[in-house]
Amino acid sequence: MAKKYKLKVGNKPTSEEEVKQFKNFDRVLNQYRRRKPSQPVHLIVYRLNKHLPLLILIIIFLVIAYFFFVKQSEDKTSQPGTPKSKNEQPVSSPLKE
Amino acid sequence: MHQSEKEIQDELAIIQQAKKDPEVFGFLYEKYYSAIFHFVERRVEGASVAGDLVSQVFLKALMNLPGYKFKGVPFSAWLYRIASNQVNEYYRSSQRERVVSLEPYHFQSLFDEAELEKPKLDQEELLIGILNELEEAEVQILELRFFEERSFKEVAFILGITENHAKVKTYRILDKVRKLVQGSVYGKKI
Repeated sequence: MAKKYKLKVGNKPTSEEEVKQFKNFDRVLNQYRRRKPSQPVHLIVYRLNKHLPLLILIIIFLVIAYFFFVKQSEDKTSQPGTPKSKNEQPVSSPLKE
Repeated sequence: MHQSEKEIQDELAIIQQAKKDPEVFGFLYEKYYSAIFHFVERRVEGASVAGDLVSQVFLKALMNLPGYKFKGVPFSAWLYRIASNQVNEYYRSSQRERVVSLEPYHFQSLFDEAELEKPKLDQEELLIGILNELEEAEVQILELRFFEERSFKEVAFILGITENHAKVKTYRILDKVRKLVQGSVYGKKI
C-alpha cells in the first residue's frame, strides 16, 4: 500500500528567532489593502433575514392595495347594464313594452 | 490556551476595534503568530512552507474578521480553524505526502487511550501502518486530540463539527486503531 503520511517523530520545532524572520505584519496589511474585501454574502443574507418579516408584510399590503384599487377603478368605469363582451346584449327594461 | 473571562473580554474589545481599523489586528498577529506557526509547521515539511501558509492564514483572518462572532471558544481557535483549512488546501493543490508530527511519548498515550498493551513491534512502523489505514479527517482528529491534547470543544470548533460528533468520531477511530493493532500483533497484515 502506498504511504499516505510522512511521520516526523521528535522533530525540534523552529526556534523563536527563526520564527521572527517570517513575521511581517506590514506585508499582510498591504496584501489586505490590495484585496479590498467585498461585503461577505452571509452578512447580506443575515441583514436581509433581519428585515424579511417586515418586507413580506409590505409586499402583502401592496398586493392587497393593488387589487383593491384595480377593483374600485373597474367598478367606476363599468355602468349597470353595460355589455361586458361582444356577445352580451344590453338588458332592456320590460316596462317599456 | 486557557483564557480567563477578563482576557476573553479584553480580546473581544480589540477584535471589535480591529474590525474598524485593520492596523489594530497587528496586536493579535503578534500575540498568535508563533502558536499558529508551530501548528502549521507540525503539519508541513519545512519552515519556509509554514511561513508562507501562516501569512495566508492571517490574511484570510483579516479579510474575514467582520464576520467573526464569539462562540464560546477563544479567538485562537478561530485562527487554528483557518490554519487547518489552509493546510488542507495546500495538500489538495500540491498532492504531497501529508506530514504528521508527534513525540515518542504520543505512541504510548495513544495506545493507553485505545486500552492496548504496549506492542512489541516497532512502534513507529506500527503507527505508520495504522495511519495509512485512516482517512485524512481521522488523522486530523488524532493530531488535535492526542498529539496536541486539545479539548473536544476545541477539536470540534477547529474541524467545524459538533462536540458530540467529535467525541463519536474519536471513539470510532480508537476502535479502529485497536482492531488494527490487534490485527498486526496477531499476525494479520495491516
